[in-house]
Amino acid sequence: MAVLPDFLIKRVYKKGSLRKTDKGIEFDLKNVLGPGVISGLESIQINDYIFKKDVISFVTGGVELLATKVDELNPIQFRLNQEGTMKLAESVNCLKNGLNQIILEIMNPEAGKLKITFTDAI
Amino acid sequence: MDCVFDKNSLIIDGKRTFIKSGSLHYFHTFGKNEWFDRLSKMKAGGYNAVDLYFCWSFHSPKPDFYDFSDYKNIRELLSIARDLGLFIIARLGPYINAELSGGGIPYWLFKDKTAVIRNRKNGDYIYSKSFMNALKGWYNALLPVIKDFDNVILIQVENEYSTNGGETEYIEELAQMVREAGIKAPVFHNDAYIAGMYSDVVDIYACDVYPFINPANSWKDSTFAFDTLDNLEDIVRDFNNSSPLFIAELQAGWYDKWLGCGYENIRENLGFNHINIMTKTAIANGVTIFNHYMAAGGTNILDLAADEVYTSYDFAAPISEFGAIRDNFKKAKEINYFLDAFNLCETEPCSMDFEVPENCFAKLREDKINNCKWKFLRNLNRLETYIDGVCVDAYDMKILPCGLKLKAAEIVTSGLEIFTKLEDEDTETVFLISDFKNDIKIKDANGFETLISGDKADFETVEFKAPCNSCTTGAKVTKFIFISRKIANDCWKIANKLIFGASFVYPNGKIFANTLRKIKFYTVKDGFSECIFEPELSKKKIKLTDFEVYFAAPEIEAEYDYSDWKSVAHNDDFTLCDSFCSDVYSEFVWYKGQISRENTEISISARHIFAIYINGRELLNRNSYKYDNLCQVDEHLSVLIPPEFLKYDKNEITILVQNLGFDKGFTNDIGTPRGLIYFKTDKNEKIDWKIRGRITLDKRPASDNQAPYLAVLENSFTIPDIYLSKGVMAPFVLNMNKTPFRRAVIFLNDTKIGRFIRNNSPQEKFYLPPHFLKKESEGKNVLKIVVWEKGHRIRSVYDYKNYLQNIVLTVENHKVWEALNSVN
Repeated sequence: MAVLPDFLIKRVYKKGSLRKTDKGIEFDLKNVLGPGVISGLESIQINDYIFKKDVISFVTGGVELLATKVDELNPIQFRLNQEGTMKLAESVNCLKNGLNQIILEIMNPEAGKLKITFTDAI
Repeated sequence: MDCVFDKNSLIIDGKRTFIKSGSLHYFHTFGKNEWFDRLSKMKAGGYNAVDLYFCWSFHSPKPDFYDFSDYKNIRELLSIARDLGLFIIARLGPYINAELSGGGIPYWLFKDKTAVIRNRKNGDYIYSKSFMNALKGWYNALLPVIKDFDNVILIQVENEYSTNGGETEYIEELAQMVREAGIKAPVFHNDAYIAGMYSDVVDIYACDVYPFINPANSWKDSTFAFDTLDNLEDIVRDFNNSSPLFIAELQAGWYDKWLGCGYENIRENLGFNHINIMTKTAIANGVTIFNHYMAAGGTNILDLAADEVYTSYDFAAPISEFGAIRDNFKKAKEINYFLDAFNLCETEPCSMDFEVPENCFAKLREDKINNCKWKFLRNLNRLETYIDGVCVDAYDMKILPCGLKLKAAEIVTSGLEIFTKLEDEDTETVFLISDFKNDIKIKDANGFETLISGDKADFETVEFKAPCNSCTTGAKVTKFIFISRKIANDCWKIANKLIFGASFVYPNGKIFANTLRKIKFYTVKDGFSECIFEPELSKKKIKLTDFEVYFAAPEIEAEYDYSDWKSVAHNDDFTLCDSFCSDVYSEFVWYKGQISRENTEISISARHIFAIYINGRELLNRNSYKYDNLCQVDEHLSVLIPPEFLKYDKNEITILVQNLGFDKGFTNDIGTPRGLIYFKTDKNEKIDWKIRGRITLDKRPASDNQAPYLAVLENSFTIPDIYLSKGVMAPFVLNMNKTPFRRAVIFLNDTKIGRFIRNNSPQEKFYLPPHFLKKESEGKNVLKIVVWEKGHRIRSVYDYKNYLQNIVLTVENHKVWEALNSVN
């Protein structure tokens, strides 16, 4: 597992964006680090609950990309300063009052598997 | 040398100096002759600085011991750089990456359980006194040498360092150690994340810029990867507004890995266009210190390489592993010569009044030294594109002058790039790269503007004069001479002279070529002159036949006495301690023990390649080197033991493991286990393992029909003195492409110079570094090729000999360049 400085990687997450929706949960990301490629959206864990690929999608530039369709041949090009919304289409009561822990597991063609941890309150 | 800085640039001895640097690894190129060659080419190619990592593990095979002799003599290296007039960017480590085993940190430190390598564990900062004490030993050995060279203008501590919390104490302490050693050059750290890491605790902020690190893809398909570089000035000025913009590693190539795509592909991808765009985009962002990483490729000899890289460390660099000038060198040279002619140390971005087409980049900068503006235009479309009226070819980038006042004329606007400028007091010659798609508008001394087409023959000249009473000829003169890019590629600038048609030149005036050439010279005073140069030497090819073949590795035999080997703990969960816990740090590691005849199956995991022998007979020979999603993955194998292998109540089991090094530890903690890491039989026997490193190359008696599990093919050859003499550059390679073997280790005069693993890398030609070669007058060169995976058709020494009658390995020249004479 690659080590990227926590305080840097956390900047990708838009603080205060974690929210419940009719269909599940959403939060926003903004790439302030540098251009990158996401070649796999493996899983997202919120507190103790793990959302699998088939309920995850990423909406950026008006296009919704399903996690199940993201791979090395069909990666997400996440440009510098690009924003997007991660959508979790599953009605689960995993959010709690106060701080929630979000663990995003993605693949990058250069760095391999990346596990990124954020915290946010609703 | 007094080196200070302000927001714009370094100021060296009172002069604003643009730093055009390139990286050379002295631990990948060997000895003073090779250092002189590579550094001479860099200097002649317009670089004014060399960036040197100093490799702790290369010098320190054991605690409190530092070897700076022979090809590890850094004082000699620094002297060569100084004598050539190169500035030095010294990067001290302790961690240097460089795709080295452990990132350059000595292995003996890994087994010190009290030492937290780099004060970091799982990304968290943990200050470690043991680590710092060891590190002080390295700095104390290194810094006094560095201090003796006042051409050292910048000093880097650590490398690409970060922790989860971004703690600064460690970097502060390293900087303090440099200061306490009496070194005054500005200190920097190299931030891999371009996030302002440690910008407040070093003198100058610096960063890495590598837009393309996956050579399987083409940057032409993902042009957005330049985003960071395109916005570098804005990004960095956000957290640093007091020091010059400094790219400590500006991508000029990339390394290939085991199971990689090969350097030919990387060169194709990261060549001429790529270095052009990288460098000019950096300058467009106001960068005044850049370092091409790498300027020169090299070779992984001994046990230096990290587990992910093979022998060649060519890096697709401007100067190849063999010392050849590549296309990207020619482009770097062109940019360097331009920067030689025009000091761009003090520029500010200014607004543009034109639109920038899609997939294009443009920037305008006001130059306070040359009192003009420079337009930077880049086209990442697949077709030529017009930007502000200038035609820019696909994937090209131009730096163009606007309002540039010269001695007798002014360039009002230009679609043609300036190659360089030569001048004396009253006369100057500006060399322009001809371009039939674009024009240049020039204003003469009377204010008349002339539009001149860029469609010019080579050396066509346009001259302007301006009256000058104080001039000896009564006029100032500006000449424009047009040259094609092809001519520019083979043009070299030495002092105030241009030399056309050479393969390469040295700053001392030596001109080299490998074929019949017309060499042309130009000076402002004397104009053109020329001569014909016909090299005499031809490429040499030495066929190696009649190999002596013999068994090596008597350790395999059941009778071998291993009573004095060290013990290695076999843990309750059947894992074993890493080999270095037993003070064994070698590519080849032996394990010996005993198992009973009741066993029928072995479960094993080893890094990276291994063989199992029972009672001297090979049970399995396995290449376990696997990568998945850029992570090394362990292979766990179960092997059935045929009953005929277990003849006795106690049977001797021997395992030979070839480990390909530690990981380099860029993103992970270094030090994942190597050697035999797991061993279990179906009867759960605990084995009293004994361990020893290295393979024994001594001959052992054997008959021709025995199976040569580990065989040495030995041959010798001589190299005529002329091929290794000064004035000739004739790199030799061992060509293995005809060998039927799949795995071998190559020794040249007892120095390990290569690993051949056919399934894992495309490398078939192995550079024979001249430092390890003998001239004919010094004796024969002995080549030993240790084969330990030989193909199924070879079952005996007899088979080897039979095979080798039909197989020719060659030692041959890559190319031969000869020197003309001095032009000074």
